[in-house]
Amino acid sequence: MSVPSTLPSRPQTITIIWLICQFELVRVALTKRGLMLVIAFAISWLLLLKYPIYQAAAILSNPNYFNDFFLFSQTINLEYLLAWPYPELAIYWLIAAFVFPLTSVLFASDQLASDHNRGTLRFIALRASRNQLLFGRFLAQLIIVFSGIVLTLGATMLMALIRDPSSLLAATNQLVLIGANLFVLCLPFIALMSLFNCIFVSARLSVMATVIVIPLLSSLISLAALGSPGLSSLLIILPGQQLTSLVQADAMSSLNSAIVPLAQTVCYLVLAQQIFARRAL
Amino acid sequence: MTAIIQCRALTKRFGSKLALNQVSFTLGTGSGEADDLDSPLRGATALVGPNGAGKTTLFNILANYQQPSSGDITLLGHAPGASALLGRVSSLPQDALLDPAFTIGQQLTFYAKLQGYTSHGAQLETDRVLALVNLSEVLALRPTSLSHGMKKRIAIAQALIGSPQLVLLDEPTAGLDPASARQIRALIADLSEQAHFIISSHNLSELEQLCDTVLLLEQGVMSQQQIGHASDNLVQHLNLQLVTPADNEVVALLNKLPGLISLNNQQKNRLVMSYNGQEQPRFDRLLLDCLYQHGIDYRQLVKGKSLEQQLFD
Repeated sequence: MSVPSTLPSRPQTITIIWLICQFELVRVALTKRGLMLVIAFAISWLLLLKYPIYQAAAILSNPNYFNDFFLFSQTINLEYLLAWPYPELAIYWLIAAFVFPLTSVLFASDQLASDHNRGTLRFIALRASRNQLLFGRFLAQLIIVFSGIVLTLGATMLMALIRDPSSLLAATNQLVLIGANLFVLCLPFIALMSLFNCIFVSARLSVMATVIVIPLLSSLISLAALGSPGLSSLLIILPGQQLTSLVQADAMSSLNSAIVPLAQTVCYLVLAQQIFARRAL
Repeated sequence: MTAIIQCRALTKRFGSKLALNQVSFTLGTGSGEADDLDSPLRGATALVGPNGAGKTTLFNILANYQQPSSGDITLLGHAPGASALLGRVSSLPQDALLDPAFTIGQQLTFYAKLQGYTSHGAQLETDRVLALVNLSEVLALRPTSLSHGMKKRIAIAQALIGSPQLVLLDEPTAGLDPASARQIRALIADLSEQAHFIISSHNLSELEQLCDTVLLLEQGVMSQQQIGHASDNLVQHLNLQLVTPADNEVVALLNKLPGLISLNNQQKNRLVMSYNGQEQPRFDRLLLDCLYQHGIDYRQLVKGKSLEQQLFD
């Protein structure tokens, strides 16, 4: 009988997390679900880039057109966008702040659920701790969403530069702030999907729970806050609650309030870790 | 002494159903030396019991797939799931499937990398374990294109990556064709010189071939015994299988053998004979002489009780 050639030493935690992360990144390109999501993402952003973002200069140069285009600009303040050096970035920011949280939920909805149902996690759990598994897969989703932000932001900037290359320096700082803001905004959504994957048996249920639970809780808290206003502070437990205020502020001041989504991310992950550590595989 | 497995008052409840009830047992290394676990473990232990006895639940707790409701358990001196056990304890889980999105090779290589192999080393290790289960040709295939038996053998292959000290196999030959089952048995027998196997199976003759100790789990309660060990030196047993069913004449003939205590012929041509070993230590020779003199042809003569007789008689 053959024997293993050279017996390896146990890899470090960070190495195992990275290996799990790499394997998940490959999955996006290999699975039907992963490819469908990537294709849907690409088509959506091609349309967004081609129409609202490409026409951004025209939209923002005419206040009436701006108000018609963004109906909600009557109720929330978007005037600051008019002062941005590149209107393309302004429109991108406005759209991406709403689209990327949803994208994060869809991409990160199957971190553990399918493998748990199939029993595949049992093979991996013999070689990696549950924490390594959970954080490896979370990291993979972060990289996927971050790549999406970088690609779409890069494409927007490219379009803006083709139209007017003169304000590149002024836009660079804003580019980084927009990217960082979007990334921080998406963090709690990805962490929430990690948590829901530890609770629910399927990716579909996890998405449904997000779509139902967040608005439902938000409405209930808002309703209760009508009676006792102090209860509105409970909204802080829900991801994306700062979304409306986020798009009303400029990128720098938004980043200053990043503590809320970061704290939400940590809380969701701690909860997920606690549940996953006790869950039957 | 550090035991391979030590269980104390292990209880597992699923709602109102009690799957394991205060299960306690110690599976030692045999010699009782404290540093035994530093040298390669060997041997195999059978885990038997009726359906629903709690075998798979016990396996799941040992492999850290489930948490016990109460009680203590250690494997190789560590609690299940401890980082010190990763790669040292492997398992063939029941009903677990590989990911259909990746090829067999990609997944086994990934598992090997998690155990610390380099990319090249992981590929070599994948080739090695696939060769062990005689499935080298499926390297580039996805799990969905394999038969049930092939999937089972691949799952056994993943359990053999690296050099696990303790291998938990839940029904390793269930659903395999006879040739594959035979090959897996030979593989386990071979590897049990380098690792300790715990095998759950309903195939008692298979367990008898492979294991030296048996853990019997019944209604959530465990008992332990050695396979083939006579419980009483005075009373010895012989299992005789005749070519033709034993008629009254043959039974009467055998009943006259000196030292015979009892003769059981519940199954047509199979007879279980108990005799006084001290009074008649060469009883087996007397029996063979008797068969020869009367022209009675036999197929098999086995000394001692079979595992089935040990457990259920």
